[in-house]
Amino acid sequence: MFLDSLADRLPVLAAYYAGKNAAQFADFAVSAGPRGIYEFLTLNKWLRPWGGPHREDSDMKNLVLGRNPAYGAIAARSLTYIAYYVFNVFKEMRRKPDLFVWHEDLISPEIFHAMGLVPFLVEAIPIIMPNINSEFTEHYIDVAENSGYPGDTCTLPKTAIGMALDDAFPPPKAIVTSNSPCDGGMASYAVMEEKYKVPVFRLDLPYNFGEKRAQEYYLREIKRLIAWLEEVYSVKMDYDRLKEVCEERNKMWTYTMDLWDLQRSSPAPMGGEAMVYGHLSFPLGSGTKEGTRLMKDLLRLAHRSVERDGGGIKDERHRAVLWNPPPLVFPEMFVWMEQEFGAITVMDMLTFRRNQWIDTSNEDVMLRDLARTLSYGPMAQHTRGPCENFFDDLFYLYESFSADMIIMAAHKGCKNTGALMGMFKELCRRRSIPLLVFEYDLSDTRYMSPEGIRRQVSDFMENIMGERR
Amino acid sequence: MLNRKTEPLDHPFLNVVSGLNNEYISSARSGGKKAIGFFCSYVPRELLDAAGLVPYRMRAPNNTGTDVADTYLGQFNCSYTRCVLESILDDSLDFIDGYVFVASCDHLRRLYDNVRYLVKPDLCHILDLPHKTHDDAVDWYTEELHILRDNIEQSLGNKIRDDDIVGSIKRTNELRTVLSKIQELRKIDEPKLTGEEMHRIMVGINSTPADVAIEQLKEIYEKLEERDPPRGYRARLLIMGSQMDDPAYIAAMEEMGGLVVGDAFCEGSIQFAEMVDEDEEPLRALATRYVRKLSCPRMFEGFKERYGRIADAVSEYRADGVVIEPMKFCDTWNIDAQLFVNRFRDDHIEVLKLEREYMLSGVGQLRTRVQAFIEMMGK
Amino acid sequence: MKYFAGCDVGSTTGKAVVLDEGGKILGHSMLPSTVDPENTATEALNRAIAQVNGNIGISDMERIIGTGYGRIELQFAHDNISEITCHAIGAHYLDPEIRTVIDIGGQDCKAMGLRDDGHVLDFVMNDKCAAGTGRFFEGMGRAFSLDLEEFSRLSLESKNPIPISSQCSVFAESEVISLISQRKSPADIAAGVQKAVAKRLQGLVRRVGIVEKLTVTGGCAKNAGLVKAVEEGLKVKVARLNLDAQLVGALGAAVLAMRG
Repeated sequence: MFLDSLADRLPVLAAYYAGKNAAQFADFAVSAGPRGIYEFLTLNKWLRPWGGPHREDSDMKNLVLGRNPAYGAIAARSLTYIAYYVFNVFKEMRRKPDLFVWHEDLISPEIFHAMGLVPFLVEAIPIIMPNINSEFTEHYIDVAENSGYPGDTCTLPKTAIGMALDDAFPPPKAIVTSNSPCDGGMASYAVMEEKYKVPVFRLDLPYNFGEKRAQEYYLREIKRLIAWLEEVYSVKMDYDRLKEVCEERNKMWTYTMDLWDLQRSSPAPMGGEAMVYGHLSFPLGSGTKEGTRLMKDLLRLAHRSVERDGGGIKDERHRAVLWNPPPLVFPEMFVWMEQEFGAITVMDMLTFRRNQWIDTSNEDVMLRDLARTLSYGPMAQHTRGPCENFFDDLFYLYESFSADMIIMAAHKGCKNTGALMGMFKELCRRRSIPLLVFEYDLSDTRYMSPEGIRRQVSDFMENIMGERR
Repeated sequence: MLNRKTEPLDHPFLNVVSGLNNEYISSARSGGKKAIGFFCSYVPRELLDAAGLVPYRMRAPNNTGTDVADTYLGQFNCSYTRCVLESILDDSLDFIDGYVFVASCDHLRRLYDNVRYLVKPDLCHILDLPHKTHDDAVDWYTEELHILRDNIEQSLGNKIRDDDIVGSIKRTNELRTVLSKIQELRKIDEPKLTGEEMHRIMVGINSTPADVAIEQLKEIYEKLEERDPPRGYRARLLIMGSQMDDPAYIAAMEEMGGLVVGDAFCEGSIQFAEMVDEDEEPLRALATRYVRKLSCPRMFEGFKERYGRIADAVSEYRADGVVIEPMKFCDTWNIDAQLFVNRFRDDHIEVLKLEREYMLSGVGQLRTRVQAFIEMMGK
Repeated sequence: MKYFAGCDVGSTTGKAVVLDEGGKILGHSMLPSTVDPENTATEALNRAIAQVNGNIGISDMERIIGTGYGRIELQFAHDNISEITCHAIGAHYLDPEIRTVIDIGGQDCKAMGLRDDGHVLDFVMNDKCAAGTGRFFEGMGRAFSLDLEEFSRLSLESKNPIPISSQCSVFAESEVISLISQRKSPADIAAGVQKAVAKRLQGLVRRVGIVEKLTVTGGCAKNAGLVKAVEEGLKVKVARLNLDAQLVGALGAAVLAMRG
């Protein structure tokens, strides 16, 4: 509590971030011992070299220091949770090496936690790495491309492929993946399977996943997954534990809904990458106490932001909805837009999710609701199925979050959404919605530099939104 | 170099590929039938045929550019989808009365969305093909076919009885049987036809009603029996890939001395020849055969089995090497292709991976690579 | 006395090499390509033959092999073989320990992995893009107002290469011009260009596998600065061949003609 308020009053990234992380790392170091630390470093080649600004114009401190105290603290707290997750996974993995399971980023970990397994979200490092070390990310992208994988595949699964081929990860005992979010993601697991030669289970989400028969089919897929896990890991699913985990998740969801309510009003308490990374806590740790604690903290800080600090930005001139993931290579984009144009991104595709409540009254409905929760996961629900799934939520959010512009981060590796750009522009035109489409590559600055992204955003903000720099 | 004095196989069916429309479709349509375009080898054409429709595998040859399509489908999308959309929008495919899609891949799913948005045809259906092949998946696809049948009946008014489907299955199986006989003529020491000729036949099969194709193939088979085999080739090749319907591509390879004896791509004979069970309940029989046939990399558990079947085909057709030609921007195929290359190398099967766009360009570059490959094999 | 010849008709230059039946090089030539590959090849061959003792002409050649992009148009050639095989054989003939060849031509580049006998085991081509090829360096020469040799020497003077980020040769040219106008050190810019090209080649050659000895053929092999950047990037010594690097393809064709 003391540390939290210290961070609020004195927004010092190092004190809060390093302090919280030092505690995590110390906890890990004590349990691992020197041998464990050595193993940790050797198994995780991606850790060296670590840290330090990676682009000449990188300005990560601005994410915290460039914002009002509570908003800055939200940004720091979100990043802190991710660091905690990484240390915790490796601590658990050392403790229970036979129960280590890899999973893809759109499968949340409730089932794994209920079975006492140690889940590791494969894309976590590929998501975080471009934020903090672009040279290293580019190294892994090159490894994948030099091994014959295509240059146009999305750089997120490509970074994961490169890391796997370069033995940068501790190897899995088994892998759980799905057909979400897209072909590139799906295909990358074929490479993992060939590389590690471990059992792989794939969840197959139907096209019209909202329909009753599709939900029933997916429930059977979930049951098949559980049976498979029981066999591969020789542990039984504990349904009482699953109930606890789902109820913990429901608590987390309640805080989240309250947070979004605050977001709906003006001024919004926070937004941008802080919001996206904060909500990564769902795939990383929904159903865990630490995950719930994070959302509770974010809600508390959001209240403080609105009540004490006058909102995320005091002079809120524009509210944007972001569609597609935010640029991993340029997280500073959002604080720059806030400072430069008074534009705050209040809601986005990776944050927004529906149908997340799990009825735990009995095993059947619990599994049914869990299946539904997974099928409506962020991004997956928008990229699967027909294009109505992509557009309906977007326009709903535009209205209900009182936005005045839409930002589409047109990542070049996203074939799925790239094929909807024509329609996107026409639909926005019809509704007179200002639409910014900027082109770039999610994880690779060699295609489009942050300066290039800034130029595209400035052109739009000046010419369409009437802002002067 | 291939002996260009070889008499090309002369039969009108081999010219169906030259145009989009053809006399068989025109006469069927003037007799009141509708032509329905489909985009993926997982669409059971038997069901369309049973409905009194003419199934037509969508093609878009002779495209000079995709400027209009590119404003809807992005520059990093599959050129097959972009070319087809361009042809749909410029009315060169106006003899097609409706479409059946499969949720095969991101590009085709979005083509479906764009076609609905831009064209609004009477029938525009998408089949939800599972990514797995277990029994539940087959049950699911059987239901999907029931839903398609209902949609056809409602949108177009064509009634489809179970007997119609059984009859259609038998007809298509008969077509497959004749095709298999022709395939046998490629496995022998001196194959009786070139890969280009076979490809023309396959495109013909995918652009005409089954009963027409059967008769044509029977005639072709008789011609083949008497014909002198093509001479002057140095190596036997098997081709693997997705959508290919321009025989000039295979011709360019064969000009360098590599005779294509086996075709394991979407419109290739190897896949097409797999039979449907005539004793099973018809929609279930179709679902079973289509879900479990020689798969596409989008079926995400199929790698080992698919590799096995291709390796078997390499032996059966006595191919000296394999050419994999994934379509550019296709993540599904391009990633899979590298995995195949790695496996082939482990098993000492010669392999060439080529990057390809739907519209044939850079023929010189294609020829150089194929020639180098053949030289590399020591042939 | 039997004579064997190889003609390599590329997009920028036409080359010819004449061998005797013992494999000794009797004559060679190189000239700029014309629109007609057959003309280019005939002229190149005639010039190479002119260096051979005795009054001989094209008809005295026992066997002629054509290679390069214009190879199919050569009526007088007995056969044609891909430039991939010819570059590999040519390099291997000059040094039988060669196992990897990077060929950087006028408009394309390729990497070949060789078997012990010099035949190709695997190859990777980049013929869709001019980045890093002769055409690219012509553009660089224009930007610096230097010829290839001067540009190469300049790049070798640098202690601190400036990174060039553009992947495309068209954009790289404007990036270079912009750096020059910012009065950055020309030597450092030139070295940065060499480094950027070497990095791209690295990607190409890694797909084939780096096995020593490795060598570079084609016109760009004469760019010492590029070769140095390749050595630094791949951490491998580039073996030098004792024949003009641009003639290696024609030599390979002549060797294959000789071997029948």
